[in-house]
Amino acid sequence: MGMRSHPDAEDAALVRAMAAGDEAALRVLFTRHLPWLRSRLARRCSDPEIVADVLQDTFVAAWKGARRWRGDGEVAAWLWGIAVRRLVSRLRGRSAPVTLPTAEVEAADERTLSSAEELVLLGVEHGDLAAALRRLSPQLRAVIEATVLDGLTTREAAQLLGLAQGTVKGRVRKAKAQLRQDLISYQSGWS
Amino acid sequence: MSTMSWHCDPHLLARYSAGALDAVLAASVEAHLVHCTQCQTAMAAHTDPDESDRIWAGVREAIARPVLPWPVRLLRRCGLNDEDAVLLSVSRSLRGPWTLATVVVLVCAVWASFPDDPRGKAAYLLVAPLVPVLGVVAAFVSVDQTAELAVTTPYSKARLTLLRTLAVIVTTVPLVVAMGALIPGIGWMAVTWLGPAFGLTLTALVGLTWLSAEVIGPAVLAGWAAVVAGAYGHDTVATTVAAPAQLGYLVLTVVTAAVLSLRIRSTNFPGALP
Amino acid sequence: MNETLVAVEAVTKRYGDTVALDAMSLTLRSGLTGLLGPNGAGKTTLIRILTTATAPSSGRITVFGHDATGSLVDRTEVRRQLGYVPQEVRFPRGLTCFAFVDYIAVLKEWTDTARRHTEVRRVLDLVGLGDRATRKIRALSGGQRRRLALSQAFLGRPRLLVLDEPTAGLDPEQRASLRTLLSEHGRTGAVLLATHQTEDVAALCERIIVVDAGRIRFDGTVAEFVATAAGRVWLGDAPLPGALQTWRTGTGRIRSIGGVAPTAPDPTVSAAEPTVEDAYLLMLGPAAHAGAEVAA
Repeated sequence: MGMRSHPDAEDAALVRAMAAGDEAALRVLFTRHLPWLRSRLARRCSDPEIVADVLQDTFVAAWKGARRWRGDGEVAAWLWGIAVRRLVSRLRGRSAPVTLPTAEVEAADERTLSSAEELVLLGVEHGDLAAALRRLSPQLRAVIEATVLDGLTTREAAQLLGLAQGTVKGRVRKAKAQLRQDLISYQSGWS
Repeated sequence: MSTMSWHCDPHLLARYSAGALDAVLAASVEAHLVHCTQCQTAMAAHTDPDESDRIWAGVREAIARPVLPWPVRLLRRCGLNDEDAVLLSVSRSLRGPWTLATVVVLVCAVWASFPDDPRGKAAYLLVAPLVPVLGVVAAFVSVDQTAELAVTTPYSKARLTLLRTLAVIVTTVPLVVAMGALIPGIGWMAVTWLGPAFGLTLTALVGLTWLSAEVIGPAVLAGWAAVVAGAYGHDTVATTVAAPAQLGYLVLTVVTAAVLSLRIRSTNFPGALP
Repeated sequence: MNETLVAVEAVTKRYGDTVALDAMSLTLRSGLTGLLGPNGAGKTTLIRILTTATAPSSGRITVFGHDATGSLVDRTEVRRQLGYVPQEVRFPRGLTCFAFVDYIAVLKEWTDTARRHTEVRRVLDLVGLGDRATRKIRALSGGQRRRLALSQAFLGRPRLLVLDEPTAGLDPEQRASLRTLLSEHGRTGAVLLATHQTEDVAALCERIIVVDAGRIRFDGTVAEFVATAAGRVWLGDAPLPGALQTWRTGTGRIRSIGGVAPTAPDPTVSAAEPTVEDAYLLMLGPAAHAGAEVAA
């Protein structure tokens, strides 16, 4: 029991300890996951105050929801699911669309991204999809990122991106068509 | 996750957290981070520890705040302040009477739906006035446990007593009235039971300045049961809430209120230790 | 600094025909005072009267200039300066540590929520329960419950701290950290510590009050108390006849408390340095630890 035995514990064990009211377990989970959650949220919301609030809400919600965590799937993915939904509800009702800090910077960056290590990363995580994603326009890529990678519903994605739901639906349809086209031609070109 | 052989190098993570990666690469880093404990840990280098501490302080504060029982949350929404909510949530007595009231009044509803059976009315009259009484008594049973400590605090015990009593009444009386009004055949009894209810509640409170809740609860219950049973035996259940009886309850209420205020002004408030 | 903070004047408490306190008078100044006595000696009765938990049958108690037996206004003033740990604290069901201390803090008039929560955190950290704040009380061990009961007494740094058997159920390490806490507190306020544990008194207190059968048997410094046993504790090869208590020490010699001292010089018997425990045993005889829980 207690904090001393926790630092190397698996995430799942920590969540079970949290369900039993162990604050030290939450502390370990917080230390482990706060940094990447913060960076990931910051890429979707440029206001650091909101990001900090969302992070706090996320861990409070994780604490309260620990009992309901079913133990299937990864804790990190569960945390991100909580965090991104908190972000969406926090941004609800804001008229200005959220700035995606990096979304537009990169396009020109294409030449510089070819370190071997980055290519490996792209291959590991997305395989052929990476190249196809890269060919999407920034607008289409944003809706794919929100719906497919962040796992948001159309409605939530619309709130996050400050778009009408219809616009999101239309862009998702368009992006999927383009990706399918791209992957098919890519594979046929390969063989 | 620890079996993963490939990891982001520090430079890549630095560029990611600075927002300097293109969208696809950043999405790939994110996809990797979800699965990789090692890279999650490495991200700590790109976080301001002061900010983390601030967020942690906020988390800690938020999770420690006790979860209030739902009747207290309801009262809180109606304007009850935080302090009083803390005091009420400790006695945890509001939930019991609610459940009791609901169950019993439902049973009476079934009974009273047989038009020729006076037992439904009698049961309603027996139970309804006891709901607030038992709520108050339950509040003192559960709080008696800390009485030794609570007595030696500066908080006004008279205020504490009234707060608990009012909370019980506010959460039970409207429910019992509403359910009584919905039952056909209960008629005016849906409201007239309030006369004995106030008289009995105050009697119980006065009793609590002398004796423990474990004695007062059953005593008041037995007393009221005897009154109703007596009337039922003479086929005159309705007289227990008729006008002359109501006058009696009014006198009882006034007298017990006066005695209670005297007892509270001396050291003997309800729930006090000898 | 050394003015009288608490004055007890001829206080008597009767329960029916039983006299629990018999015209007891004493004063408390800042610093730690140990209240020693067997069960039923009147320690707990005295403490309950001092803390306004019960009223005396007669006599007068003044705490910080307020009459603790007087009007409600006076009693409330006394209560504002008081931290109290009863001998046994029963907790309401279903609460977390934080919720319990928060409840007591509200009763102690901490009206500002943010400040109250900070103070609750402070006292939980003080007794080493900081990382147990969100645990349900029923999940705590006996020692942790005792520390929880202690924590609420420190809310608002009271000027008078009254503790009834505070170390019961604590392990040696926790006992040591509680001693540190109390000695710090004793520098600014008055601490009254009722106990069977003569080691606690020896380690902490400047002053000892011994009560027996509702009366004060001794009231003075620890040094003076130990001095009452001077020349009555012996080391020898055999137990002294008539000794109250004898045992074999680590060196193999027999320590005798009380008993008949040798009349002629005996090379095998030498006087030993007395302790608080020796003095306590000699003062009250075999009754000293009557009824004491063996746990300690």
